[in-house]
Amino acid sequence: MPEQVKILLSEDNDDIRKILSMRLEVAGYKVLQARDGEEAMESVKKEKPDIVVLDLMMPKLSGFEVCRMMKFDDRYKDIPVIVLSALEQQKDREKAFETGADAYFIKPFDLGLLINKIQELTLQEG
Amino acid sequence: MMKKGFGISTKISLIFLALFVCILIVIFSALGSVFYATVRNREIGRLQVMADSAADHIETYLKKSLMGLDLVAGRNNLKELWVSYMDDPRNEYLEKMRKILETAVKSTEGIERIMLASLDGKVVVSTDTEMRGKDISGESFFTTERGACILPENGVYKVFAVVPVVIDGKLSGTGVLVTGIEPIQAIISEIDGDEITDEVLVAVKGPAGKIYFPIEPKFRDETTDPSWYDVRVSQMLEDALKGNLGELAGEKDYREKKIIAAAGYVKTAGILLLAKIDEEEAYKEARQLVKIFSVAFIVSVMLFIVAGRVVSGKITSSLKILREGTEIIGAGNLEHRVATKTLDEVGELSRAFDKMTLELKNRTTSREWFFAALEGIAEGVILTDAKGKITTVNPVARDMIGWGGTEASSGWINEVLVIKDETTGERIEDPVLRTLASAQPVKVSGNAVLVNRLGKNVSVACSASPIRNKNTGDVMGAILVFWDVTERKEREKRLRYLSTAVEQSPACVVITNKEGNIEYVNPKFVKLTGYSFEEAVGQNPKILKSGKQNEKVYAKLWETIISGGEWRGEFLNKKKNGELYWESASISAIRDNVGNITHFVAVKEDITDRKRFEYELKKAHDEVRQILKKAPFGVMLIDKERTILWLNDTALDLIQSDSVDDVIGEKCEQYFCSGTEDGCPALNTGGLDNEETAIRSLDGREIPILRTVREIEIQGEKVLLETFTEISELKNAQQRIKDSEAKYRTLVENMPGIVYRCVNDSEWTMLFMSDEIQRLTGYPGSDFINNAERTFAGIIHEEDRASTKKEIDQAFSSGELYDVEYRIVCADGRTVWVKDKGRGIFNEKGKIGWLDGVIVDITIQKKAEEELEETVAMQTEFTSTVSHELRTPLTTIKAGVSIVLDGIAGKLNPEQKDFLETVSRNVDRLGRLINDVLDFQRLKSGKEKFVMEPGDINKVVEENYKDMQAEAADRGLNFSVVLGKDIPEIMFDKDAITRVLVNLLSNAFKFTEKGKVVISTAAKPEENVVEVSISDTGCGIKESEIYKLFDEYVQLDKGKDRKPGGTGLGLAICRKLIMAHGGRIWAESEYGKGSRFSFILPIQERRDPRG
Repeated sequence: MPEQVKILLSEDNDDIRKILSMRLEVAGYKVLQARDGEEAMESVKKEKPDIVVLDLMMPKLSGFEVCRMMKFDDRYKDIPVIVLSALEQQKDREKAFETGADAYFIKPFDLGLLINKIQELTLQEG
Repeated sequence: MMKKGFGISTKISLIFLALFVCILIVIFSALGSVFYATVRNREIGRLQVMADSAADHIETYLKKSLMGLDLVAGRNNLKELWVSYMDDPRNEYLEKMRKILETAVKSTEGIERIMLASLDGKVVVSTDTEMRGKDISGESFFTTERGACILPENGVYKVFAVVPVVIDGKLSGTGVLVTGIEPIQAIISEIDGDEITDEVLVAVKGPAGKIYFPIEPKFRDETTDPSWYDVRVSQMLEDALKGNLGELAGEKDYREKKIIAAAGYVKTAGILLLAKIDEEEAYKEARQLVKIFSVAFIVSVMLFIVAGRVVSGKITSSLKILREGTEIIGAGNLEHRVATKTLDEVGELSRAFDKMTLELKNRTTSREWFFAALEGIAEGVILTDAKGKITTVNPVARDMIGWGGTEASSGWINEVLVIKDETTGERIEDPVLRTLASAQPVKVSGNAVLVNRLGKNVSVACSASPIRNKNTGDVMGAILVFWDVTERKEREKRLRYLSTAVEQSPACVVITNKEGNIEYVNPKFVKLTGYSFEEAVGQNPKILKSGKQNEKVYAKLWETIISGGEWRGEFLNKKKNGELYWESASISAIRDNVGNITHFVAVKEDITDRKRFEYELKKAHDEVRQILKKAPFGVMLIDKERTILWLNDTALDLIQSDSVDDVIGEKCEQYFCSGTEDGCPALNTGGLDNEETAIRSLDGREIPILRTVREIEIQGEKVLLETFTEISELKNAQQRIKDSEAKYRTLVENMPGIVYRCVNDSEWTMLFMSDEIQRLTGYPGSDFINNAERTFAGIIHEEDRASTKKEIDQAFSSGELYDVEYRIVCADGRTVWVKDKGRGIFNEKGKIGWLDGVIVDITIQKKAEEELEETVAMQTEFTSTVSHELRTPLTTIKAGVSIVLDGIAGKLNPEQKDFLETVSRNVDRLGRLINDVLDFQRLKSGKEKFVMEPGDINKVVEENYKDMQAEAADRGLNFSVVLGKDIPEIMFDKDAITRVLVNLLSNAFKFTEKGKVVISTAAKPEENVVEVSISDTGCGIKESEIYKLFDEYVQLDKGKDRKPGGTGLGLAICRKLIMAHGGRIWAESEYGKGSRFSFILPIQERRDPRG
């Protein structure tokens, strides 16, 4: 791995964020953390992550909004977005994909599957 | 002899003279006063012109002076100097101003001086340097207003013109221009001249009201009383100031002489001008003329008297002789002759007088003869003079007119003799007077009647002739002869009546002579037979014989009439053109006064038409009678006393009588009206129309009938024509309809829903609406029937109106029943929910005629539904939140466990790993449980939206089969699919069906240790469904538990075989999904051997709602 892949993890729940970031770092990624939508957006602009993992229900800016803002901006629209959500309905999933998300995980999700997806999306990128 | 008085001529002369004098005096005095008035007026006019002219000239002169002064005072350099001087009183300014004024004085002749004074009346500058510094404020002329006046200064009259000096719109001084009186004097003398006759006085009102005469009057004389000026002129001047210019006439002036005067007024200076002339002077010529006239008048009167005396004496001398002669003849001496010699009228008169005397002598003799003849004559004779005054009436005339001889003799002819027209009753113009007027004989006959003194009428004929003077031919009187014609007129009248009767008779009249030859036929005969009068006369009536008459008739005819009887009978005769005709004749003889037959007369009438008519009438009558008799409706004739006169067979049948005679003559109320005798409903009302009543038959039955009664006239008799028809059947049918209607009405009214019928229009115009509507809405059903004010559409909730209407219209177009729910706003404002089910009723033409439907109140159900919906929504919301809150910690747990299990947190021993794997499995199960709970909740609340699309169920089954093959293989199960043939396309949501299939297959796999799982499809057209079944060879389900299978949160006791992972909601969800498709799901099982889960989906006719 010549250069570490940067993951922006945006999740308001501290526990989830802590565990996830720990697991992703173990998996060899550089993890940037954001506690809400605004932080996420700032981080995207500043750090230009390789991939973004977004919780949908966040304070200030929701995951949908962050995703939409990125996908409408030519500079960030190619950054893959993985959405994490407690909304399990089909329509929510569809909405996420319409907004531009590349993957959709319903909580509780399998960490292994998430890491697989991240690998898949970043490799494509690479 | 008579006393000698004034002769006629003297009298006439005196009277005329007196009259002449009187008239002349009146004329002269009238003319005189007119003449004097004219002269005076002319003088006043002339004087007025003078006064006005003088006033005008003076006015003009004064205005000119004022204007000149204006020009001077208005000069700018003067004004500037004036202002400068006022600021700084330097002599050089004064000098300059004086020079300017001087220039002005020199430029115009007659100006004495010009002064400019300050406002307080000090002379500032003057052309006359002596005036400088003088105070003129006390002077009468001094004023600050524009004007002029004439005043004495140092005993000399001068004209003062005064103008205000205005600088910059501010009054700052007064300019005074002084001229001598001479120009005015010149004007006056130019106007009144030097002659002594006219004089114009100039009067000015000076200080203290004093009057000045600036120009000395011509006639002023020191001895005369000057107070006249003060009083009279002062008065006139006052009047002039008020605008009344007077005139004077006949008043005496200061010299005590009468004058005529007119006044003029100079407004600018307040000067009165009085133009006057002495009356003596003015009337001088007039008086001269009057004197001459008076002298001429007296001379002519005297000449007149002398001439009159001479002429009258001449005329009266021969009259005197005539008077004396007349006195002699009047005394009886008819031999005396007057014989004057004069040739004038009196001479002629005396000669005529002599002639008259001679004639008088001759006449006296013949007159006696004439009167004797009058006494004896048979006719009435009346003589009158030329004016119509009666002179003589003979005895016959006296008797006829009923006036005594002496009474009549003194009367006028038109008083005594009254002749009238017998027919008109109007008086005929008196024949005597007519004769006298025309000088021609006049005859009166015909209708004349003489009305005698007692008012009795006598028919007369009369003849009047003028009596002429033998010599001159002049009419000197008239003679009227008249005689009684009463008898003759009566005869003539009777004959005329008879003749007219015969001529006009509508019957033929034929008169023959004794031999039977026609002597007369009347016009009717000519018209009827075609033979003219000339053709008929001389012929025998046999010419009319048709030859179709029995000859015996003629023989009998002759026998009868010759014996003197009258024959009556009918002939069939022949006209000239051969046409036959019937006549009825009456023939009898005419006898002379001794009883011998001279003629025969036949009166005959054409009766051909009558004969034919009688025949046809009889025929028609029989036909009508037969038609009426057999008519299929009852006919009856009833007279005014309600007695039945006639009835036809149908009426007879209805009454159930065998014989007409039983009924005719009876009273009608016996069969018809149950009313009393005097309560006949048809009498005097003109009749009845379609009255439903009953007829009482003889056997006592009441048969319902519909009758119409008319009052008609038959042979002048008013009778009732009653027609009727039996309506028993109709009545029965009506009753049946009524009963049936009542039944349905009760049914409808008692129904717990509102039954209606309405027109399919935007207003829902109701044709019927059951009263249940009132209980629901508070509006009675009748409110909506054809009432534009309250329509049913009007009470439907605004938001529902359009959609409901649309839904109903759609149901119509597809021919289906409609079933709609909407809100209604009640009378009290409440809103209720109703369900309205109905259908369009089509008329014969296939168009919608109306809507029939039932409305049911579903407010309670609606409310319950709404509440339920709310509860469900709350529940969903709650579960959703809970689920989210659950997921978050679960995620942490799962992730944490996963990390530990992966050994990232350190190596685990097998025991630890086993525990954590258990934890991980249960976390997964919890996650699924949350999913299922949410799914189920959503389905239960009906929030799940399905996408129903037509599709092939086999395709979906096959896809699922393929997806699940791997898992089946893992489990080592025999998994197969059997797809049914000819399965139609059905409507389903692919995701939902996939979920059901996955669930059922997962269950089958889970509970089947070994063996096979089969999924199959089949069409069941007889049930109109498609069936999908999944059978396994698994553990099966106990019969007692099968019914619980599809309940929520149920997990069957599987004993030791129980495997974790189920949520207990899977089948419940499946059931909900299938039910949402309108299908059914069920399970069959043999415990320990296997189960079979099946579901069916309905095959729907794919119908386009608008097709």
